Amino acid sequence: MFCNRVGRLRGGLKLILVSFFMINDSLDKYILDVLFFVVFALFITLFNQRIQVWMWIRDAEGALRRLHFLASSAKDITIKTVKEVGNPSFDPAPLIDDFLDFFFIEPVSLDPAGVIQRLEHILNTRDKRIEAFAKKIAPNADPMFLPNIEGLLEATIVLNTLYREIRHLLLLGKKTKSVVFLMQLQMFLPIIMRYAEAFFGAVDAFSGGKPIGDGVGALVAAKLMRGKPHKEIVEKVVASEFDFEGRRVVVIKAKGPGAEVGKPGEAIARIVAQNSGAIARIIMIDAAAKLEGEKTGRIAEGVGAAIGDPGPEKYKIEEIAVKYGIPIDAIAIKLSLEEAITVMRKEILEAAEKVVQRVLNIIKERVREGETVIVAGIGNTIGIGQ
Amino acid sequence: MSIVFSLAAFVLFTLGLTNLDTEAEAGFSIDYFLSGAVCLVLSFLLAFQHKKQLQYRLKPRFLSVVTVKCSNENCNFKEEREFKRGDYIFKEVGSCPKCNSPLVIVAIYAKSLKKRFT
Repeated sequence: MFCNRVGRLRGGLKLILVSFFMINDSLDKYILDVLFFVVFALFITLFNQRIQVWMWIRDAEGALRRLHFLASSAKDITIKTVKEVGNPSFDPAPLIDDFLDFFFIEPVSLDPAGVIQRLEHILNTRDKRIEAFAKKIAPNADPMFLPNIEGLLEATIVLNTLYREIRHLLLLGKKTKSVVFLMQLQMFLPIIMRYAEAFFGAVDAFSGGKPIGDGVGALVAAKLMRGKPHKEIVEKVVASEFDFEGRRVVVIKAKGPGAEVGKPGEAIARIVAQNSGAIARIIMIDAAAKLEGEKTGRIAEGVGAAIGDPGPEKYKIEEIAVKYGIPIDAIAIKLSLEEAITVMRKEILEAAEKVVQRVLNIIKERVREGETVIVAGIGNTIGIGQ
Repeated sequence: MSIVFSLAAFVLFTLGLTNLDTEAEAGFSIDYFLSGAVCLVLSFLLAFQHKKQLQYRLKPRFLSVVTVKCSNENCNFKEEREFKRGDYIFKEVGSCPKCNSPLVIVAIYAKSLKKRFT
């Protein structure tokens, strides 16, 4: 009875297949082919998003593994460097581990009045905390190397934060099964990983005390003040004064060769005040973010305060320039984020030499004899003396 | 994941080979072979990706190089060496073997270890 029914079903199916698909080969093969097609169509219709989500999760998990490797390697390098340079009598690892969660809260900007002063106060407090911590974990470190440990700690904190943030987003996406979360995470991953790799490069630079791309402004200033006397005019900023073809040139930069950026805004304001505002020009040199496709080390000229600080130093320069009507020239050396915080590339080094000539030309063209000009080399002066 | 795809490819190829002898099942054999080939390609791709990640993890991409130059402008002594901790630009590092003037570090930069195709 059953065999009879199966036989009739096969005959019916064969008839359908023959009439619709013009085929008359092995019935089993075609039944399976049709079944395969139906299952495949159903699978693609019902599970396409799940497959997509699975692929996004897989990408994010791969990136998270890499981030974990970078963050833990950065921590290991920091501990090793602190032990080598600071020679502490205790194990600094648990202290460093705790410090990796260090954060700072930006001031409220709903009421913008005095926000710059409040921000500066918080930034100063943060800097002092990191400095005190570096001294604590590396009590016997050379004072010249201590700022490098601070920089190393900051780069490690960034990597650790990136790792924890990405892990949070991935786990949240998995828990909530939210396509939106996972899609955004996967789409931002390439840029996040670029940042992470760049900060890992910064760890290498800070642990060795090597100059970084961001220090190109400081390098130009160092080249200008080379062989001339200099003194510390404000905390962690040095100035050198010399005569250039009848013009008085005051060059400032952060005090090297430790990883310092100093307070160039405060230094410029002080020099202007000391000269009662009799400053013909302020020339600022700094590294600037290049657009994709632009050549590394390309030099661009413009006007305005060329400084990439969070705000307070730029504010001081603009304020004093407006008060005395001093024009500000800006020279930017183009580089990418990776090149800015990793060891200086040859193209950037070569650009520094060209910028020195350009600065001297600007002084000759735009500053009259007997006038005073301030040249400020902005940036992290790690690995650059004066 | 690469291993899973390799196993799937092996199973599908085996099924394809065992079904080759029966004429009626020739169609299935091709299906199995095609699916096996897809799995094999996926397996190779994943394995290659993993290998690339490992290489990237282990190989340094840059070497930090120091250029040391004689401070005497008439002497042209110049040498390049690997960076050592404590080096910095404008640091005096001994005396010139040619004229005995102080040697100064004039540049520290990252040299790419990647081969460039032109």
